[in-house]
Amino acid sequence: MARTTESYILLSYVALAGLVAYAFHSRLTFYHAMAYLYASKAARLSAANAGLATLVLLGRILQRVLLGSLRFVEVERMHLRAREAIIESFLAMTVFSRHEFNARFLVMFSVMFFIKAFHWLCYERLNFVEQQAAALAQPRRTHLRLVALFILLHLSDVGMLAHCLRHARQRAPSIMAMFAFEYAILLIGLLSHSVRYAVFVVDMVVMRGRSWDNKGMFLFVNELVSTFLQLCAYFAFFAYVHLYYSLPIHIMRDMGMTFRHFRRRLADFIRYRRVVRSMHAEFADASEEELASGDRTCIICREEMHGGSGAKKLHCGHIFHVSCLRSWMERSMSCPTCRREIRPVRNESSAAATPASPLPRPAGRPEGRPEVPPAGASASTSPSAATPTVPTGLPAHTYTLPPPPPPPPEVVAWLEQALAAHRAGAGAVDGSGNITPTPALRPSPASPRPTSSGRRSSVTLREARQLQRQLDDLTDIMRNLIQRLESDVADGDTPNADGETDGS
Amino acid sequence: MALKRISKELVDLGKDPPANCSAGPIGDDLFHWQATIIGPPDSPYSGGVYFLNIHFPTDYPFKPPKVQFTTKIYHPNINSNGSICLDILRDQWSPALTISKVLLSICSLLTDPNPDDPLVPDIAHKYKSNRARYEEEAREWTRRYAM
Repeated sequence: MARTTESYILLSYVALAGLVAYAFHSRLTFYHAMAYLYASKAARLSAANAGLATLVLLGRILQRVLLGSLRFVEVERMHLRAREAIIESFLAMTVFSRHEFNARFLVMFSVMFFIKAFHWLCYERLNFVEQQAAALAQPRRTHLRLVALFILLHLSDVGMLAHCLRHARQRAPSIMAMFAFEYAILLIGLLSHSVRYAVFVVDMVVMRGRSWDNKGMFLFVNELVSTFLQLCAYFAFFAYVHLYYSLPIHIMRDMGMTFRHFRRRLADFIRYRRVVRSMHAEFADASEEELASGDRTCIICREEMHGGSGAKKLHCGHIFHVSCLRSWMERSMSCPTCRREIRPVRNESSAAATPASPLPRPAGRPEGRPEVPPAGASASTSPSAATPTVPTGLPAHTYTLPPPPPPPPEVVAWLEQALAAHRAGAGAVDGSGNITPTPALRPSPASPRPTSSGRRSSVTLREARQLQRQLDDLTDIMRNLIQRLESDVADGDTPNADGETDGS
Repeated sequence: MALKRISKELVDLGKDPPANCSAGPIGDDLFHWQATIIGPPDSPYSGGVYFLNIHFPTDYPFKPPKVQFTTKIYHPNINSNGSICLDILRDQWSPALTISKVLLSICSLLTDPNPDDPLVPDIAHKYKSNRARYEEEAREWTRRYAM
């Protein structure tokens, strides 16, 4: 491998030197020789080749100085990434016009590729250092080299970015924008990795192996921010290309993926924050007995758990170390053992209200369900007017539906009318205690209809129950109507076309 | 964390090795393992010895290990690079899983390919339309590359 590279570099120089020698030998004057060299395609090609060889040589030297010998994995991964990157770049180039591909472009492209390769090597090395840290401390030299590499890459990224931006600004539609974009993405990645490295160093040097709870959090935020910045860069590039060229279809996929990734991470992040905050209130500490009855090992880290506050029990009954659980929840909100979803508390106020007692709670304690809203509060206008007709002795009816959205005015008007009719019917002592809904608003046939048998002087319990059922029906109808109104809003349909369609 | 857990798994593997599989680190890098799977007897891969590379991420067990066949194999869910299309190695990973469980899952994937979620559509198609041809081909590859 190294041998072939060396011979390639050597051959390139020899070829160039041979050509120059030939030119000076066969042409009489310096001027003629230069003219020949300038015009000849072979000369240009070999000059370009020699340039590339110089770049490779430079790369070799830098690698020796800053990275030492590469491990097999590093080389393998770099080849893989290089292939992907080249294909992607070629795809990206399809958008730009042909006259922009000149010698300058070639130089820029090679240099960018060169810089990129060092980014990948740097990341691989960082991974390696992080991996090995637990096993054996790296010599100081490795860290010095890594820091030097980071600084160098930062400088080159910033420099190239500035250079490309300057050019891109001079002439508006230019392929330099693509390079600027690439460098921006590189810089963002580099910054995020530098932060990671800094966190790592702080963890190693300052904390010295003490557990650092916020470390995971820190890295998480770091990743989130860098994804967000990348997304911004993508959007900027997208807008630019769309403005001056055609629609950049090739980056849409990347953009979509980054966006989806970002959104999911953000959602995870928010959920994670909520769970962690309420973790102590939400999940019971595992007691000694619980631990003793089952396997003591935490399935995540395979180490023993002890009672007290070190281990938590999820709702599904599985027990893990708090720190392990937290690390897992940074990635996924499912139980590692049974994959059941870890749900955050719905109403945080009640979770906060329950005193976080240090005593372990009894296992299987039913979680504080969200409190059922009082019946009167479920709808904004009418039911409050209707409640007096329901005797207070009845078991409080619970509407399990979520508080409905504010109903449209037509529905409110209709509802008030219907309830007025209802009250008139129910209030009449000898009348048929039966609502006669307008045909448009008849409840669905499946729902129980009150019978008009009650010829009594007071509202009996049974009748009250019927009334309540009717109220239920009304609520259902109202919900259906609102849904239909929402779906029919384009036609401007009024809901009283028919009430039968809500067959559910 | 990762290193501790990996060494624990290594000890467990030594204590209770799974059937038809073995695994262990290459050299002294505990994050890089090699594994072997012996082709299950009730599959066209029977008699073959398959080598796999395993890379543990730094944040193992929170992220799945990267597992790759290094021996060529004719299978609807394993491509020519040796990449395996297996849900537990991707989004269905759970820290409760171990390398030995992963290897056992791969064994059962060899016995029962999943042609409905193929990585190599040609092979999946053959598996579905002409099982005999598929088995013949798989046996041939086993003879050629894994024996």
